[in-house]
Parts: sequence; C-alpha cells; structure tokens
Amino acid sequence: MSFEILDTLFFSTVIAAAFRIATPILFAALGEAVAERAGMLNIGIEGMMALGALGGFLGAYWSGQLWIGFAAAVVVGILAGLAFGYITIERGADHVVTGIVANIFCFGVANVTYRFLFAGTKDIPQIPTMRPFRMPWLSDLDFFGRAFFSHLPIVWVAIALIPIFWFLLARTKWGLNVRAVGENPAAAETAGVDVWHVRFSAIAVGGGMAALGGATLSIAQLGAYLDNMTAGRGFIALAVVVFGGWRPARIAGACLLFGGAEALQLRLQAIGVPIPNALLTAVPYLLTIVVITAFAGTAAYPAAMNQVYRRNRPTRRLRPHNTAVTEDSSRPTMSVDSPPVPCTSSLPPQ
Amino acid sequence: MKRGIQFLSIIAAVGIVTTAQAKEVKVAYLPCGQINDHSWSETGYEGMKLAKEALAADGIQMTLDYTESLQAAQVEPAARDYASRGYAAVVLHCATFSGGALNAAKAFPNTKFLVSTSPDTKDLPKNFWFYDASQQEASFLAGYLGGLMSKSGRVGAIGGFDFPALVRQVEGFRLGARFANPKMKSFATYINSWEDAGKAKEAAQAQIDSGADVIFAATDQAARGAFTAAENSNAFAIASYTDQANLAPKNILTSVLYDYPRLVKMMVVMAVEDKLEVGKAYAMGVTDGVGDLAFNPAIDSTIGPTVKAKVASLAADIKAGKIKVPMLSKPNEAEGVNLDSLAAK
Repeated sequence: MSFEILDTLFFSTVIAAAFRIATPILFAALGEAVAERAGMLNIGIEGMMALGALGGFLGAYWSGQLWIGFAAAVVVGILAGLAFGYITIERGADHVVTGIVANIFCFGVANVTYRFLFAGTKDIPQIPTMRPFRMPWLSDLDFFGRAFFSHLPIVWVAIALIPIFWFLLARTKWGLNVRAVGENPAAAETAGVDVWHVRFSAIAVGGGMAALGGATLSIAQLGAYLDNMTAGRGFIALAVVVFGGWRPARIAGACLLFGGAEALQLRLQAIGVPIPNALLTAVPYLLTIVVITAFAGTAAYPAAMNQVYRRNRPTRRLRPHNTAVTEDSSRPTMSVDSPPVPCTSSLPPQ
Repeated sequence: MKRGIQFLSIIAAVGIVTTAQAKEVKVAYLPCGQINDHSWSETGYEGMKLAKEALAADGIQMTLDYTESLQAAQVEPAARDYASRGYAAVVLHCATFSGGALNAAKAFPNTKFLVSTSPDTKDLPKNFWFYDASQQEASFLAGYLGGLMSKSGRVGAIGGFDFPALVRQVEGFRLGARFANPKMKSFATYINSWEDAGKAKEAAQAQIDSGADVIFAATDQAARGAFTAAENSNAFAIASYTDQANLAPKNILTSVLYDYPRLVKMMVVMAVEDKLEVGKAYAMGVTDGVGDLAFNPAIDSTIGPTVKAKVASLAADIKAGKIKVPMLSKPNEAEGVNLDSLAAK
C-alpha cells in the first residue's frame, strides 16, 4: 500500500467520478422531488429507471443517435408516470402498493422486451458510449480541466436542471400549485387549483426524469442494456429526496456527496488501504445519511403525501357497482364537499 | 423382404449383446437452481450428461435423475431418498448443500456423495468427496499475460464479492502479474454485486486513473462495465467464465475459462468406476483441463507470438508441476507471496 497516489491527479479523478456516479441518481431524485412535492410518493422509480434504460437504449440503438435515445427514454418514463398517476390519482390506489407493483412490472416489461427483441441474436447489441464534452482552454487545465471540464454532455444537462428545477418549484405558478397540492389539496382546490392536472403533470415529470436517469446508465455510461442494471439507484434517489429535504440544491449536494464517497472508496479499495472491503463499500451510504441528517435540518414530508384526493368524484369505480357508498368511507380521502367529520368522543358518558 | 429380416435380426443381435454387457447405475444430481439456468446449475448438468456419455462408452448404462432448486433444509431428505433407492452416487452441486450431504453420507455408506464445497469439518466419511476448480491457476495465467502486456507496470482486478472462492481468482491474477514483472503494482476492488455494470465501470476507471492498463474482471454481467471502461481508455481487459471477446474485440486480451462440466464429469466417472481415493480433496486446475485461457483472435497480432509462447510455457510448467500456484483466499495476500516459493522443489 502506498499513499503517493494521493496527489492532485487522484483528487481531480475523484471529483470527475463523483459527477458521473451522481448523474443518474440526480435525474431520478429531481423528478421524484417534484412528484413528492405534489403529494405523489412514487417508489416505482427504480423500475421506471430500468424502463428508461431500455427505452433509451432501443431509441439510440435503432436511430444511431444518442439524443434520440434520451428523448425516447423520457417519453417512456412519462408514459410510465402517467400510468402510475392513473392508478393512484384516478383510481385512488395506495401509492406504496402501486409503487411496489410498478417496480416489479417495469422490470418485467423491460427484461422481457429485451429478450423478445434480441433473443437468439449472435451479436449482443451495443452502441458506442457518449464522449466527453471538451471545452476550449478549460478542459486543458491541469486540475480543474480533469475535475470539472471533462464531463459527458449528459452530466451538464443534469447540472443545468438543478437551477431549473429550483426555479420551477420555487418561482413559478406551477411550482406553487405543486407545493400547495402536496400540502393541502382541498385548500388548493378551493383556491382554484386543478389538483388532478397538477398531480398528473408532477408524476409525469417524476417518471420522465427517472427514465432519463436510467438512460444515462444505458446510453451514456455503458452503451448496452443489462437486466437490473439500475441496481438500486432508484431507491438511493428516494432516500436522497428525503435527506435533501425536497429541495433541488440540497438533493444535488446529497447526490454529489454520495458519488464522491463512492468514487473515493473505490480508489481507496483499489490501492489497498487496510480497511475491510465491506466497510468501505458501505461508506457512501453511511456518509450520505450522516452528513445530510446533520445539515438538512428538520424537513417535513409534504403533508398530503400518499393521500388520495377526490374532487367530488364518485368513488364507485373501486367498488362493486351496486354498493351504495358515501363519499367519506373508511378510506382516507379528502374532499371539498365532505370535510372531515368533527371528532366526537366515543367514550361513554361518565 | 429378406433384407428386412436380416436387418431386424442384426438389430436384435446388437440389442441382446448390449443388454448382456451393460451394467446399470443410477446417479442423482442436486443443483442450487434449475438445470437450464445458463449458469452454475447448468454447467453441472452438462457435466452429468458428459459423464453419462463417457460411461456409455465404457459399457455402463447411467440413469440420470435430478432434483432442482432445493432449499438447504430440503437437501438431506432428498439425498437420503436417493440413497435409499439404491443410487450409486449423489452429486450435490451447491455451496450450501454440504451440511445436509454430510449427514446423509453418514447414514448411507454404500452411496457416494460428491459435493461442490467442503463442509467445515475434517472428519469426513469414506463415501464423501468434495470437488473444486483450482481457479487460482488459470487466473494466475491470466495475470501473467496481463503483466506481460502492461506497459505502465500497473494492473487492476475487479471481483464481485469478497469471499474466498472469488478472492483466490483476484489474488491469483495479481500474483501472476507479479510473476511476469516482480515490480508490478496491482489493484483489487470488490464491487459487492454481480450485476451492477455501472459500478464495475467506475471501479475499473478508478484503477485506470491510478495507472492500470490491464483490468481483470471476475464478476458476472457487471464485467461489461469494466470492458467499457477499458474501451474508453484504450486499456486491456480480461474476462472470466465465458468467452466474451466479442463484447470488446479490440480490448479483451483473453477470457479465463473454468471447465466445470469437465470437472463434474471426471468426478462422476471416477465415482461410478470406483476410482476415487478415500479422503482426497479433488481440486482440479490447469493440469486437469479445468482452467484455460481463450485468447481473443481479433487482437492476436497485438499480443504477439512471443508473449503467447511465454504464457504457453508457463501453462506447461504448471501442468508439469514445476510451478505451484498457491490458493490465496484473503484480500491482498498476493502482495506478500515470495515469488521464488512458487517453483516446486
């Protein structure tokens, strides 16, 4: 073991790798943050990433254009998000259960589709991976060139989306609506916000971004589609959203922290520092949790997360047609027309 | 019509002759998973079929039965069931099956039990053997090739998980690289996944950033990431388990192959023909044809005849017993091995 490797070259490659590792997670996390802000808990993003990885790969493989691949992935992701929205918003299903089903379903669809298309082909389909975007002068700098200015174009897209998402959520009417709908849909509706549309648009953004993250893996980084290639990155994104307090900048920081820790541990392991490999492997996860919980403060969940909202719609569709159902039944629904029943004491009188 | 009768009588005669000579034997196969899993359980089943063919050539009619996807707790009853029905041998092709196999072996001394992993005991019954591929030998050869091909004097190895059966491949590679060049610096990274190609790519990139120009991948589909990293950085890569040269034809030097079907076949044939030595651990490597390099023909000229001849001569030395490759099952053990100790006295 030797530490002469710990020079500027070493740290510049760690920073560059941190951005590469963070990018797919950052895409998924930014989208998920928007969805959750609107009260949509989509734990199906792991599967949607896989779907995006396949959709993006197919688009790029058949067209020969990487950017068409990314566009295809976003379309697939939006469709997956809208399907999730249909089941949860329109049909009123539980978000967690739907998310679990979405994961299983998306993985199944992606893997089976890939097999169906390419089973028996002699040559495994591959595409050339994305090349780094070189900037004049900046990319030739010794430390900063390697660390910050040799990224893939898709990394720059991810970086650009951080302020865009902040702006969308914090400074636009749509963002305000999203946040209102996620906190109190009934009040938002009273104020004239179309909860149904806002939630559908938020979940579409979430699905599209998750798929973009998956496509980053398949198109930009590997040039191939592999079963389960997302390998838990969607779940990491879910955690990052919470630890980042649903704020784009903090989420980006958390992703970079995770990526940096992962890049560092891979390098420390390689040069043989006398720390057990199992512990080093866990470092990115532990560090992200510790640092973010220490600095993020007390961020609260959007109040209406995973709550079904019905805009004066009959709920019969989930029940047998001939059953008479009133609006506020056992299911935790909120409605403008039926405010919560005042809590009356069920205790017997003294 | 006359010709037809002649033909039938020949068939009848052949039939009578073969049934008169054929010795019948029943062998059971219990893998971890399913016999068509394109992976571990299928390689063992291939070996069983090869054994059946080999025994047929020796005039022994082997009946092959199998039970798939057992849980560890179901293994002992299944093995006992086969043994009680007069099976000559039961092959347990799964790392977690050794405990159940051991108990069944003690109860049925007339059935031979062949297990792919040794149980944690020295007190083995006489009808119990375990077989293993000495993977360190072929990965040592791969490391030697990598060491000869490295211009930077640095090579890297990526393993799926940090456990002895994998560490011995990674450390075998590193030792082989040192054997080619005693000043060789080698890196090892375990990515804790068989599938995460993205992580394998970053692990390979980390090694390449540290100067490595040959990357050895001992993991499953995740290895694809290591190949991509090698392609992007014009480094060499070495694949494991199957010939994967077509995935990166300009960068994959060779694929390290471990012939598990051959290993299982040899064990079953020896068991049926009563040639297994009591108490011997059967670890087969390059010498027995269970471990070889499949060179990538697409970059034959890059490797060059001199390097190939050197690798072939080292393989011959291992086969002749002149070089003994130790099995190193702890991470970073290869760094401390005295290279002179490899030459057998």
